[in-house]
Amino acid sequence: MRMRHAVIGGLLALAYVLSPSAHAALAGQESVDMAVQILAEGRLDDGRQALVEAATALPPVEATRLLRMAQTLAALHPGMRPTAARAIVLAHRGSVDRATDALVEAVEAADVAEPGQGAALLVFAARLAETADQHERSEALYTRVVEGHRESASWPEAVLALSERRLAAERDLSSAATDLEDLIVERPTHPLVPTARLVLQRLQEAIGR
Amino acid sequence: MSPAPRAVSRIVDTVRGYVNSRARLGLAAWVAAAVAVVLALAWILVGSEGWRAGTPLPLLLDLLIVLALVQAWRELASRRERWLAERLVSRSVERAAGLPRGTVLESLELERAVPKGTSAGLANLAVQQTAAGLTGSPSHLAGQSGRLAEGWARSGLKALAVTAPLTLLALGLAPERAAQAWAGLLRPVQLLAGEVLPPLEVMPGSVEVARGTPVEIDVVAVGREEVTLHWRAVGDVPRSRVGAVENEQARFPFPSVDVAMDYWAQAPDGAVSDVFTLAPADPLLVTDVQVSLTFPPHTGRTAEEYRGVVPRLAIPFGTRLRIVGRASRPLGSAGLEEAGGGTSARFDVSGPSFGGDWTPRRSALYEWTFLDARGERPGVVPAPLDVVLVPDAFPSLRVLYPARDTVIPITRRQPLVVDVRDDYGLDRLEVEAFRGDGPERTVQPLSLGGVPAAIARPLLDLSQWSLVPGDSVLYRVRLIDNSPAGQTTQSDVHILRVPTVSDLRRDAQAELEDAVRRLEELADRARQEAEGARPTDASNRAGDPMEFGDREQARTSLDRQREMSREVEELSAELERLAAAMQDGGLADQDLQKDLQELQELLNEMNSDDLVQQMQDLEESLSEEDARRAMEELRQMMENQEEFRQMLEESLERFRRAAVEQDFRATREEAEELARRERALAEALREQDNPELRNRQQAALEAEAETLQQRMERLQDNLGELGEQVAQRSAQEASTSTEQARQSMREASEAQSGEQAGERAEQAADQLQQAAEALEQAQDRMAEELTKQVQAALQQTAEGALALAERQAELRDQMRGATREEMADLRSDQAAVTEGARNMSRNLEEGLRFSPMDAPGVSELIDDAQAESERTAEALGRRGSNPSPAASADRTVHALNRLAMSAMNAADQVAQASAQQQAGGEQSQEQMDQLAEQQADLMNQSAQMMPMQLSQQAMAQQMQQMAQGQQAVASDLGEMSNDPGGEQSMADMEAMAQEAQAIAELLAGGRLDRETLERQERLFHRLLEAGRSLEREEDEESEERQSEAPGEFERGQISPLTDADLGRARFPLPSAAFLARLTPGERRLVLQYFERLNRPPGEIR
Amino acid sequence: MQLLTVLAVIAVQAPSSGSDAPAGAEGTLTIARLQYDGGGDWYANPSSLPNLLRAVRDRTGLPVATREAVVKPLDASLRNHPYLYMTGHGNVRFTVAERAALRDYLLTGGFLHADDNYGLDESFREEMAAIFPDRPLVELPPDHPVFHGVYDFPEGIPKIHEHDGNPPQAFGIFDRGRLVVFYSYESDLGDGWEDVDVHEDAEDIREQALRMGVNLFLHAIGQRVP
Repeated sequence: MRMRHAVIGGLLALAYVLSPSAHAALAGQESVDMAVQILAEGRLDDGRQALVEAATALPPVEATRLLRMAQTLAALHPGMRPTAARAIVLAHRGSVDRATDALVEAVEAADVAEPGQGAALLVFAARLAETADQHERSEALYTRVVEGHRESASWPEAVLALSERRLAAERDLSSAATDLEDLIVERPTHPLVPTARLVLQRLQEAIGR
Repeated sequence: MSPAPRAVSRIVDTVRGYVNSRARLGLAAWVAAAVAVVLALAWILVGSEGWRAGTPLPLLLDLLIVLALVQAWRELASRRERWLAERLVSRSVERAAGLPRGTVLESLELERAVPKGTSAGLANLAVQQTAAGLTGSPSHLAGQSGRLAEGWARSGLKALAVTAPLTLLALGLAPERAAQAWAGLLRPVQLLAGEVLPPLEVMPGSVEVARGTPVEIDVVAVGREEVTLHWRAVGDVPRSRVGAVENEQARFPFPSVDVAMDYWAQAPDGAVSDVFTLAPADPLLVTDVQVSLTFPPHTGRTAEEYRGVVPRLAIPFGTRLRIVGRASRPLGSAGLEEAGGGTSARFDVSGPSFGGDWTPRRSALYEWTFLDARGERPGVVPAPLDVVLVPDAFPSLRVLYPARDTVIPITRRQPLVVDVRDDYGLDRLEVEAFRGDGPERTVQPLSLGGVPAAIARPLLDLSQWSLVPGDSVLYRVRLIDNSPAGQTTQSDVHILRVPTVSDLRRDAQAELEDAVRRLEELADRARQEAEGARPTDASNRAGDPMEFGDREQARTSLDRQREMSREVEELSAELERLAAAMQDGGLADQDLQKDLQELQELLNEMNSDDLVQQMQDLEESLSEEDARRAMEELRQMMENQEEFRQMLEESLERFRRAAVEQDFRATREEAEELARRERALAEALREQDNPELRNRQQAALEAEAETLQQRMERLQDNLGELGEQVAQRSAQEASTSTEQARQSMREASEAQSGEQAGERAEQAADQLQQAAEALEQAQDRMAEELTKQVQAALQQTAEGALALAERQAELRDQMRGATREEMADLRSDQAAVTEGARNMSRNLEEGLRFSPMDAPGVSELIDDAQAESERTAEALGRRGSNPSPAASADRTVHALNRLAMSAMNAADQVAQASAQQQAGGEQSQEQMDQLAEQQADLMNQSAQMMPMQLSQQAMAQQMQQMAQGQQAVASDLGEMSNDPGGEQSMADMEAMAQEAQAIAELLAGGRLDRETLERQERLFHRLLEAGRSLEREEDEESEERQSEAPGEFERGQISPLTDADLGRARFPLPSAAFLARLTPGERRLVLQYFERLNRPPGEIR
Repeated sequence: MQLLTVLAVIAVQAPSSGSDAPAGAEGTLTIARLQYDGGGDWYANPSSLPNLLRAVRDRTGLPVATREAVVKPLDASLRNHPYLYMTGHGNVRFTVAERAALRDYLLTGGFLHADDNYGLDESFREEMAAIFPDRPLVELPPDHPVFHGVYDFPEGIPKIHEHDGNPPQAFGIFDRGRLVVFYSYESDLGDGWEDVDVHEDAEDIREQALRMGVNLFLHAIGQRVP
């Protein structure tokens, strides 16, 4: 019986490996690895391009993650890019903590050219922390952006993410609602504002309860 | 012996006279008495009614009177004989005197003659004694005789005394009777014969009447009761007719007198009139009038002829009329006279014929004048001859193209299209081109061969003229007709301008500013339309029938929208024309061309297919009276209108920016050009070669600097309005520098020495250059800002897309395994994602608003992502949907990822393009355009330097600079020609490079003349054309093809035309008049009925 | 040296008899060439219309003018001409007012023949769609009376010159059964009407073009206005 299960399992595994999605998955993973490697070598533009190309071979949700990284690299000031690239490499190789720390250090260092850049790095770090299920750290980073980087392009994302966490945890609901209201008023055309309205509605319902 | 004195004779004569008088008295008395008796008898016999006709009494009484008179005379005669006998008288006298008998008698004898032997004295004594014895009155001496005479007289008087009173009594009693009676005595014979009637009068007597006319003969027959008219017509038997006399007149009508006839009247009383004649007369008739027209030769008209009725003659001046005709009788004269007096024409007359030639000199109504040989006028005259002389009109011409002052194409050949016409024929057309008072002047005749109309297409070829930018050529078209006078018409003088680059730039700016103004007006109207449309929207509720007022308002709204759409189209077409004109004029400004293209596309987008379709649908629904559909279409159209209005506002912003950017470019170029010229002038001032000329030139440049400064100030204002503070500050700096330059120029004019003037001028040139550089920097910064803005917009789009993608991924995870209710709850989250995509789209549009680039791929991907999100939302609401909500969510994530990639890619391209521009590594076509622009600058410089008449040294410096510029063009062309990847179209790159090199050498050698300028210009044209060739290859634009004979082809199947194709309804609608009589409700029902009848079979709505 | 060069020959025949009247003279029947904006060469094929008019005159006896007239859509004299002709290689563009004027003219008895000289198609179709949004261009089948007036064209419109290798097509717009617009596409009738030496076409090709032109003219003039 065990043998039969093993054979069946092996055949299934073989089938998966031979299947197109499996090929694709394998091919995608290799591309990501290659892209990260290029970043590790310091070739930031090529690495970014490679990330984008690798994303095309991945399922949509995973592709989004890669594209996020590529976009972050593109949006950052050239001076900040090496820091972000290093963080990507570290995170990909499993060292999310170190990646996050590196990003936070870069922000706290005096060489951040613009406040927006700092916020972008902090949000990037928060996302990395989320992928590693470091929710508290992620929340702390989002809070830092919400409170300290109101003018940055990353502020709306941080507000929404923080508010959703607070709603899920049912704490600081009023504060979350206030933040969302501010977001809706100050950035009414942001793509995340419609979602923010929904979350605000739920917050208000929760507050009402 | 003498007789004795007649004393006794005298006495005897006296006595005799006395007796005679008594006798006469008696006679008269007796006659009077007889007359009185007769009168009385007449009074008695006449009766109360007067004498009866035929009565003899008056005659008898008259006879009585006559008898009495005769008798009385006889009596008198006899009594006188007795009484007046000498013997008796002598005896009476003797007796009366008592003389012896015979005394008297003897005395008388003695008195007569003394007998012989008697003494005369004794005789005389005897007589005297006798005479002395005769004393007494004659009446006494008359004696017996006297007594008898006296007695007779006395008896007569007595008779009269008796009869006269009787007569007087009769007269007093009945005077009328007496008158009648005694009047009858005066005409006794008439009375005896009966009444005498007046003669017959016959009218009209002997006359000539027109043949065939009726005549009435009147016979006046006083006292008659009837009268007979007798007549005898020629060739007919005598006839008569009796006519009753009424009011003393009898009338005899004759209906028609065709032949001569004699006639007379006769009364029953035997009275007969004279014989009269009625003669028919023929009127003088003029027949066979023939008018032949011979037109002047230049009119080319063939002769015409009219017989009988001659219509109104509208004839050219100089037409000769030949007139001939005949009359019914010999004529005395024939002619034409102007009605109301004036000119006339006389024709030759021969018997009844007339004829002659006449060339009228005035337009008038000419009446025929004819007189026959007797001087009578005709009864019927031909209708007057209405002659209108049409003067030969001046020829007319209309220059159809270009029909206005314009810029001459770079080929220096301007096609003209001229519509020429004349009433008769054209001889030739002349195109005259000249330059003010310059020597160049030419006239080119073009024979038109006498045609009356043509479309002439001469080509004004000025390629051999030495024209440089800034020159103007005047031209006009002259047209001469083929009349002997050679009448001429001239067109207006038009100007062909050879534009300077500066002119072209300012023209482009002016056009853009005009477009801004028009768009502003359009935007105002769109705003008003949007505000005005709201009540309609509010008043129509779904399901209610559309009221007439609402329908009309909807139609008005539709019409206005159509109008606005068309104006936008027109504006787009004008931009296209502007781009072509700028290129034709030789303005190689890539930025301007890009701007114009982008603005055109923006305008074309405003009239989106959706809006056009909406308008069509609304039109259909209104015409079909489909109220519900109409309201729906109207609502949708209003939404599209809102979008239209927003795009209009955005376009307005873009246009304003484009106009300001063009102003920027033009101002900068002008500053640079001015700096160059000022620098050249500085050299000349240093040399002091022609102080007066230099002062004038300096003053002219200072004036241009002032204008430039004003432009800069205006530019500052415009930049401020656009919110470009940085650029505004730069413009201010430039304005300040220009002001300083002007000051320096003034100082240069006032400088004491040439060296000083040169320094100041050099300073001014530097300041102007600074101004140009400030503007350039500002422009660059503006461009940089714009690029950053675009990049930021794209990056934000990428960020937004990824954020939404992550959000969608979270939702997807929630969808897996969710219940139906949970799925339904997720719909609002999904809707938020869709709304987020819309926000992204709007943000991207806003971000690219002022950018010359657009990102159509990105916009489409946003739409795709939006669509996928909507499908996911639908899947969430449908049970058992395929694909499942989760799969649909995956696709949404995928779409958002693609969007993010595209946005990132676009941002990268923007950054690369910006870097490339800075690094100078353009594509071939762009390189070519840039070279063309450089060449245009060089050309401009040369054109500006030439008229400055600089000294050799000053010119040499300028020439060196220009030579270097030209050399740079040659080098770039050389490199491009060596490019191994070069295309076929670059085959003549080497030739152009060589040409550029040759020109550079000429400039370096100090040669700047018209020929050099023309060579520069030709090179510029070739560069421009080479750029266009590349563009054409890229755009696969088709060219004018050579005509080819048709090859093989296969015709497709063509369906028969339906009633709908033919615009026909199977069942025609009732007429408009019928429909107008119905109420609106009835009309709607009727139209709906017919609409249903005319629907194609099987169509269900 | 010649400073002015005439490139276009005025293709006008002197009137042979006094009965020929100038173009556009009041009361004289002629074809009016439509002048339009947009950059297209509305004045192309200068000898075509005089040759067509002569063919109409010689073959039908109709007293038409020797020359065409030229009108713009907003000219007051537009209504004097029942037959409009337009051609060109390029862009056709009418203003709002011009479209309204043309629509009014065509729906109240006027007629337009548009002849694609190659390149006119796109802009012309756009303009027609704007002028007649309610009436599309429909292809005329070979049995339409316009192909069987004086001369017979059993297969429809003839092909005179090659454009894109497509079959020739005739499109029309109708109003209550009356043909108000005739659009010849991939045919190039105007080229066929030009003088012999312009395109050096074969005689039969020219003859086909002229016959079709005669048919068209008579059909247009002879239609009853509903």
